[in-house]
Amino acid sequence: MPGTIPVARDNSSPVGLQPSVFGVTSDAAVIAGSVSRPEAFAAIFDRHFAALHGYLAARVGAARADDLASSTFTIAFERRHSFRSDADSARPWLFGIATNLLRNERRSEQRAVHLFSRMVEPVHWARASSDGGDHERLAALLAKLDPDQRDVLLLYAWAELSYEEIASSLAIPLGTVRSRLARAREHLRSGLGSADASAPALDAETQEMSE
Amino acid sequence: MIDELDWVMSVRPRVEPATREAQRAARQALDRAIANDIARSERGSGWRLGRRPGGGWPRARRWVGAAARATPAFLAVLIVVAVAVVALTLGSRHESASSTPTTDAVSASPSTAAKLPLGTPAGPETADPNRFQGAAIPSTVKLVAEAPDPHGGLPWGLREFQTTRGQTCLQVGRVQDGTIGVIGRDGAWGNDERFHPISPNAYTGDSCSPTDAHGAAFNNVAVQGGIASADVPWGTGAQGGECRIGPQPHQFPACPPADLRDLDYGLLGPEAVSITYAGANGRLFTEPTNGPNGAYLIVRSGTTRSCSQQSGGGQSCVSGGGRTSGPSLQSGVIIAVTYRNRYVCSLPAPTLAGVAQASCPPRHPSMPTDPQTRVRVQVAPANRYCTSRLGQTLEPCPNRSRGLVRLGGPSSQWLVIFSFSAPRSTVTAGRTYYYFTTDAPGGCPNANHFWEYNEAVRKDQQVVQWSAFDKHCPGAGLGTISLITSRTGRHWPGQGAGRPIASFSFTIP
Repeated sequence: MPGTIPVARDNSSPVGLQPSVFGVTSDAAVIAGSVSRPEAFAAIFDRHFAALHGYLAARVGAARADDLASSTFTIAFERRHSFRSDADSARPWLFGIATNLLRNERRSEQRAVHLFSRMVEPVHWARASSDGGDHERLAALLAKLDPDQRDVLLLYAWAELSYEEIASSLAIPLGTVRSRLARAREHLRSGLGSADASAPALDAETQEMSE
Repeated sequence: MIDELDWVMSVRPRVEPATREAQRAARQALDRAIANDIARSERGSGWRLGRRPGGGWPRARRWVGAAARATPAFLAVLIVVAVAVVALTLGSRHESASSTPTTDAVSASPSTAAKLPLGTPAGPETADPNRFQGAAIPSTVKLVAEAPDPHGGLPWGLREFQTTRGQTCLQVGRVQDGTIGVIGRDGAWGNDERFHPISPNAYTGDSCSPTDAHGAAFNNVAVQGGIASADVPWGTGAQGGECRIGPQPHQFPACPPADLRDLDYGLLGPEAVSITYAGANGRLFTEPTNGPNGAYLIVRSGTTRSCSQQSGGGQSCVSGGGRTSGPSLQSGVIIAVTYRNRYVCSLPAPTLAGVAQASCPPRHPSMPTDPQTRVRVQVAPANRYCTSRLGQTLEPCPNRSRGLVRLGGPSSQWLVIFSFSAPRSTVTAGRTYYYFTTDAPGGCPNANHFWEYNEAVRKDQQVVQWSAFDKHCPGAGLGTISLITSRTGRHWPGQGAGRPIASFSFTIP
């Protein structure tokens, strides 16, 4: 008959657990677990809310970003069954949902882009150009970009997603990502009048896709 | 030399982080969606957590399934009947609770507790299915018992589940929406006042016991001085800062006495139908057990001193909380267990010191047992035997025992020698091992022995063990041999219930 030994409380982890696992569980595992235990999905919110909100605020302003970020997570939760189990991070998936929501926010976004172009401090523009007027032109160019190209461009530049992640996020082929990005860059270059020797050439891969 | 992408990056507006209000509002929207989903799920499946095939729950599930196919008129009748049944059940429970002084002031019933926002899940999401207790099997996870908290708020719940390594495990926590969790208070989770659902893989070693050949499991856990938030330092992934009881060896803040709870919970087996326990004023209460394994859960206001009977004799008290567990139910809060065939195992009421004086064995006589292994037993004067220097072998002593150690010494003892054929192999490093107890006649000093044989053993290998008893203790003694199939995290002798494979008796002349 095994004994009953009083065990003083302490903070040691039992050998039977793997503390290292806690905290590094992949998004995919969390979302898969949330299918049977919905409450687990809260971890996805905790991990990605700040980044997603920041991206949305940059595109449409803080006021709209609050609503859109909230909607993004609610929609993501309801569609968690469709999350691809082979995707490790939920970040592209969430940004894809947010991008779809942004399509209803075109006017807000254009207003926000123009507004920000006037609010940005010159010091932030110095790196882009010595001409302070350039950033207003760039903002205008961004606002006039084809929406699909703008989504790809800003997911790459502002959300810092990779080509593959953008493709996953928008459910489009990788080649389409490259071509949209190339066209967006071409549009900006020509618009800014910088399609000269000072601008670096497109990388070979992108150039190929854009042709 | 600026690239277009650099330009685009450079015009990314600098935005302030989301305000706390915005984040809270977004989180609440998600929490509502999650709560709605859980409610839908519970409406659709009858009992979200109870999906174990062969248990008591499938019948309820078939009921719900049939109802889903029924006509609207039948459904309406069914709903009316269900509401009436629930009302009657709650009424009787409230009546029982209101007359239960052991729970002190029950200020809120489970149905009236304010719902808390959801927090980050507690504990590891996954576990290795092939190590230690294994990983929880999701389809077996079910809530088997609930009890009100003596100070109100969310009720407490007991969750039972199977693991991939044949263990039956228990978890205890506060209940919200049919799930157990930890409340972010008492310093835990930064006092965020959220409900942090506990992962099934966040279990402590001694909360698991082997599932026997008949699908039954036995485990009885008593926690004295637990934390009201249900934050268990082992395994829930608590983030630190939570309070502790008594002396604080790790610089944790001390819990206020009102935030301590004593918990008694466990599995008494499928034949146990009810428990009788003593209330704070000595009044007795009888409650039915729950679920297929005879689950029970009692929650009382906390105490700060814990004592228990040591298997090796005597008692051990821990000031500052304690925890005991084992397949046998030690005397304490519960004073009787009634089995299906009306057999009653009675236990003495606890003494002032809380010392466990007796126990109910994990099985009562009518229960089937696993096949028993034959044991050969011999009792002989100890000084006729010698062991090797490391105590690995036992053999009769020659006159000149060079290189051997003669047993017994000046005050000669009786040696109980027993041997058996190992029914299965075991490995070293403590994953599987044989475990022995020998209990001499009562009243003897040094009369209860327990030890483990932490050696690799081949199947059918003859294992010889021995135990020495004082000569002044004549009478009959009992011994047991158990097979421990997984070791718990800490090397407490016998921690983690084993499967008894043999018992034997011996007589000290």
